[in-house]
Amino acid sequence: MRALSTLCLLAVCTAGLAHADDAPPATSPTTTAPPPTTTAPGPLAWSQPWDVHVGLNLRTDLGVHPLRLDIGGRIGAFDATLVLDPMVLTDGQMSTDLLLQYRSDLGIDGLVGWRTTTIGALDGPQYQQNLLLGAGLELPRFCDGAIRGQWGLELAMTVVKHGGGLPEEVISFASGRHYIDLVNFAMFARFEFGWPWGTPSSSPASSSSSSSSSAPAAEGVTP
Amino acid sequence: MTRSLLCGLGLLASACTPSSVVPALICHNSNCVEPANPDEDDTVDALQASLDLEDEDGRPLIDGVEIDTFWHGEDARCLFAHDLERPGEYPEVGAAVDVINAWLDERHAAGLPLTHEGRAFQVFVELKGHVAREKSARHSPAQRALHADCAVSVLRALGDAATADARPLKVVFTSFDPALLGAVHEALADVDSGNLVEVRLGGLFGIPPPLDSQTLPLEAFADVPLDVVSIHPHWTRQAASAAFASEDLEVGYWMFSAVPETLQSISAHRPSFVTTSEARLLRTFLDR
Repeated sequence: MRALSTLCLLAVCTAGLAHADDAPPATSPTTTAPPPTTTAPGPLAWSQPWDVHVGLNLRTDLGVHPLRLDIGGRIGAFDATLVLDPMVLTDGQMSTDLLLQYRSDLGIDGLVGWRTTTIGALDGPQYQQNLLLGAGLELPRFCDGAIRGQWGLELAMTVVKHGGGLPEEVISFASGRHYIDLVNFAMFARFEFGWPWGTPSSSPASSSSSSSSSAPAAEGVTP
Repeated sequence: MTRSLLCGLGLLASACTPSSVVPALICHNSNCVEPANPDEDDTVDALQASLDLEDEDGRPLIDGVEIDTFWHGEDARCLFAHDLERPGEYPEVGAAVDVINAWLDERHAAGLPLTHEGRAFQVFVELKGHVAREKSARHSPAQRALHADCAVSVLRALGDAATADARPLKVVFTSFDPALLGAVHEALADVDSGNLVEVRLGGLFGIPPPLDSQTLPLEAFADVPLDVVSIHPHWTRQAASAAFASEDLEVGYWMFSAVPETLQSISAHRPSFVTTSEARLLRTFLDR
């Protein structure tokens, strides 16, 4: 499974390079590219105020499948992402997340979300509804900045279980035995590839593509 | 090239395919009727309701039950109880034994299956490690011996009934406390449980310190001839699992509420038993 994840990551990275190559040639990097800073966004979508992005959502714990797909959009520092679970095909269990993030300029992100996990039961699926709280750190960008990454910590709290012909179970905090199994922590890594969505007149149009092929490696480094 | 690829895929598939043996489903704290409610743990009513759980074919959903024995130091009584937090009276552990024997006798007489998987019915007898409401109140040596005698009396009562009915039975004594298991081991020296009754000793491992004070490292059980470990899959590190395997210990899981982490652990590692508070959900999961 790790090998599969690595292959997928390489494929996305390769796609990112191809995308970068498709960009119009830089007219004069020395005159148009902004000076690199440690918080500079990547050369593609990340420098735009809006973007849509797709990516991989990876983890090694057993809370959800190790590989899921992110589809999302960002407006400024606010990011909404739907996480889909194609590995439902392997065991019939599916975890779908809706994540809302604040991605700060400091490279530290806050995350809230909701996860619905479906598990086969006698009379249809049982649904386990989870509240997600987390924090992430932006990773150094790579593939000439086309790919941005995030590493984070997540708390998933199963608030209610329902469906599947089973009685509804709502979390209780009456004692440790009531909730200890329902509150779980996990680490995740996400890697995203983005496209700018529209170019508001106030934005630094085309600055991203102009620097894509000539940007120094250090440009993608974030704290 | 193609052959190498096929060989590689074959090896990967064999490595990833879990054992086909379905883990035995054990009713945690004699209470596995959903929704999970720990307030009903180790009560006669919950035990009876758990035993009565059946699938559409009339088979029990479970393969055994766990009963907690609590030595109440102040009264010198052996209780059927998880702790002393619940208000009201606690029955002696014999009350649980009577319910189990009556249920087994009735089904056996009627020719009904006693377990879901058709194996021997299992009773896990857990010895709680404290003798008062506070977990810090530990057994004195005398209390430890009395508690062990109580646990062995459970074996005698269950074993006599099983032998009389000529039906197999498995009794597993479990505890977080190695000294209690050691006392049980000593008390078992004088017991002839017969050919039909299998007796085993099991260490419990759960939430590690400093979050909880009960779980001890495996080496603390060095003086106990452990056969079984019952571990919480969320809180057991890979190194500990490897140590259990090195000791050739039978490994089972216990839990309160099943979440994806729990279910994936079961799929990945196929423990020999699963002790659950949600019998119907786990049975569905194991039988799928």
